[in-house]
Amino acid sequence: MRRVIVIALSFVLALAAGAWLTVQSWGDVARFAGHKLYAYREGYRTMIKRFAPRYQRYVVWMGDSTIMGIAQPSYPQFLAPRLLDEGHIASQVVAGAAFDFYNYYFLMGPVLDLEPDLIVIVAHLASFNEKRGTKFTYNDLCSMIPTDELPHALRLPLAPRRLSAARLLLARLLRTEAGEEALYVTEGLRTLWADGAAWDVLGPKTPPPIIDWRAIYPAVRAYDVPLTRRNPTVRMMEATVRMATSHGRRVIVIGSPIPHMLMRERWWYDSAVWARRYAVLRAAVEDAGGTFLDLHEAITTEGFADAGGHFNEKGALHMANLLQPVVTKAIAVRATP
Amino acid sequence: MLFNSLEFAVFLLLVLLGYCAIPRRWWRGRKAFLVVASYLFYMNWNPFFGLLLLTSTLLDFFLARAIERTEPRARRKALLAISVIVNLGILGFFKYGNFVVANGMRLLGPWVNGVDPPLLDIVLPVGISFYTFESLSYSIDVFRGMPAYRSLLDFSLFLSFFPHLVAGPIVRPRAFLSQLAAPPVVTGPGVETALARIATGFVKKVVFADTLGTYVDIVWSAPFGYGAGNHLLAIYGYAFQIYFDFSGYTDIALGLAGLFGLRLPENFDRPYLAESPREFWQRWHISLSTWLRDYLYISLGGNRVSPARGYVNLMVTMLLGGLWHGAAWNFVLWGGYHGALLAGQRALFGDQPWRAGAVRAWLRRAVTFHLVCAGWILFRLGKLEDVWAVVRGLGHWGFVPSRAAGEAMVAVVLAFGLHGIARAPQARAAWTRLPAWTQGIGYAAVAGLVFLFSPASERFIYFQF
Repeated sequence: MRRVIVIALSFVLALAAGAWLTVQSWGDVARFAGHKLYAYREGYRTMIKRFAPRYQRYVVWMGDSTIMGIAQPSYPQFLAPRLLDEGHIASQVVAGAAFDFYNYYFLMGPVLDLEPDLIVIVAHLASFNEKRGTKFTYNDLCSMIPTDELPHALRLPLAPRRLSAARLLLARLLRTEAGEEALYVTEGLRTLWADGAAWDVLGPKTPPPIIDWRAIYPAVRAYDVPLTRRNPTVRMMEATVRMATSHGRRVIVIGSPIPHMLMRERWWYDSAVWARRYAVLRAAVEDAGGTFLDLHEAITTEGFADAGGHFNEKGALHMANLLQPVVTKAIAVRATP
Repeated sequence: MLFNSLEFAVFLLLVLLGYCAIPRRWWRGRKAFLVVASYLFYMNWNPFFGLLLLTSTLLDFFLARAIERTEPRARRKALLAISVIVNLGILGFFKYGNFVVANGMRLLGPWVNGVDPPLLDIVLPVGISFYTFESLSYSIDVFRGMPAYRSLLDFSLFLSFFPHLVAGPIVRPRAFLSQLAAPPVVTGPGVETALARIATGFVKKVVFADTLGTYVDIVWSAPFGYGAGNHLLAIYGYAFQIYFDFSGYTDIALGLAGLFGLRLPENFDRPYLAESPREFWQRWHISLSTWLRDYLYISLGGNRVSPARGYVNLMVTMLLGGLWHGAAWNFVLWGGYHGALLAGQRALFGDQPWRAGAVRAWLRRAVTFHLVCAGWILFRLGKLEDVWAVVRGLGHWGFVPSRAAGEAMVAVVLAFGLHGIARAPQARAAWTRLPAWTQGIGYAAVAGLVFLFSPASERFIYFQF
């Protein structure tokens, strides 16, 4: 057993020496890379701050890339000036690419701290499909779950996202300044390694795009998801809405438009089938005290920028027109806890 | 809790500390501690899973004792039937319930057109296929004459022991339970070998399997857009991805068991060096193929029946073996494909040994490897239209270069080389003869490598089965 002790000691010493040397040599660059990589995390941690005075009515939009408005404004961006002008309602968007109800759940704590009058959440059907193949989980955001929510969180379907009770507790435990910095450095190091110029000899990092009309196939197929109340993301949606409504906030969940005409043309689409699926979402939202707005057939092919459900200007404006009266009406009635 | 996660590292450290803190002479205490730790490990996925595992444990422990006590064969058979029906019933409900409903709806097609199947609200418990087979084999062994074990604690540990709980290897009751009679002796060389296995497993999983998996996912998520070059690379890539993924998991499992002085069966023996489909199954997922042979194929009559019936037995065994991997038709097809290969080998070559000669041997290996690879396409791609896209893609040359393709190419070349040259037991023996401090530094290097490669790390493929 003496040899085993020597192995353990030399392992720990070598690991410590390696870590020290690495941090000395690349620590600052790695920290910078890590901060850049996790800019969204820092953003949500530090920037989910209320910018309008407390007396002003406030709406928070939570969603995925369909409302981020990066390439072009989406409907929350079109609506923001209208709501401000007509109803003195301030808007804030809390969104991220490929966000889903797991992420909204993680971020609901900081959003509730904003004391919004209304929270509008995007339910993108593809995000309920466990096989859609997105690589982005944003699991690191799970440390933002409020402490009083943890007992509920541990009963939720965490496994599909490779989360577990142990991981959640560990994440909460490590949510310190030092823990956060360690995360940035370690993840930065991994990024430096993965993006190192030496790898370029193996080929271009971004291969030429595969041009084929069937390239839209996986995208539209992702909308073909039979739903039940036990679907993990449906359960997360219910938990997200319930967390907000139990804190006295009004919640509207939008059944985001899907490219149904394209699906009918290139894949298959049956209005009755999809209507039943959205009915499952409606029931889950309403049971949690929220309001469900089914807009899945609200936009025709001309309103979409792509098969992934992103809107072009026409589609975004149409959505803004549809949602304006709904938001104005909903925000006029304050919820009671 | 995945083996390649921070929480598992913390869990393992706590379990090792707790285990060592209990005096060796209090062996029952140590076993009880391991059972509790294993249940916590399992229930971390979903607390309900623990209840299912407990049900299987209690059911087969008491049924086996009843079988042992019962004299009339008919009653013994009835008790065994209860064990088989309940175990397979639980497995069937959780694993195949939705599959049956969805296919039933398809059969009813014209009458229920446009209606989503009323899918059952089922969460598939991780590892249920593995522990159900282990539990069943205990009842069957006792029915066949093995004495039933008296200790519920031992039997609980046999089924729940966390290193093999979620993805095997499928442990045989006699082999494991006999180790629990007395406290195992944990020796220095034993721990060194265990550490070497764990390190090997992590490298296989994180460095090889995940690198290859990234590329396979890219190509086969849109298989219609690529030519033969990319598809060939993806096919070879997947062959080694699944091998390194599963054998990596097995290495870690065997190594972890070794830290407690317990032995689990080997599951792989360089399968891609097999010279025939039959030899492939003697080298691939050995614990499953021997289970299917001993408890299904032989129970059906094996080859001690008419030749025609023998072929039927073979095909039934392989079809069910395919279905064991998952509730989908592609797994059934994959099983059927391997059944056809085995039947074809038997029909064409019988049980005659192969003619000697190195060149002939390598040719046979190449043919077998490619036959196995063709099967992996069925296994990996769930939809026949995607399989067809790959077949069509193989028909016209084209190669889209990318960094992922370059990485996969390097990994495949290394994998071929390592598979052909390295003999794991000898390599491990040579490694453990090195000075202790060298090993420590080596493990630190492996930890660094795993750390750098792990962002792409996905769950172990065999967790799904």
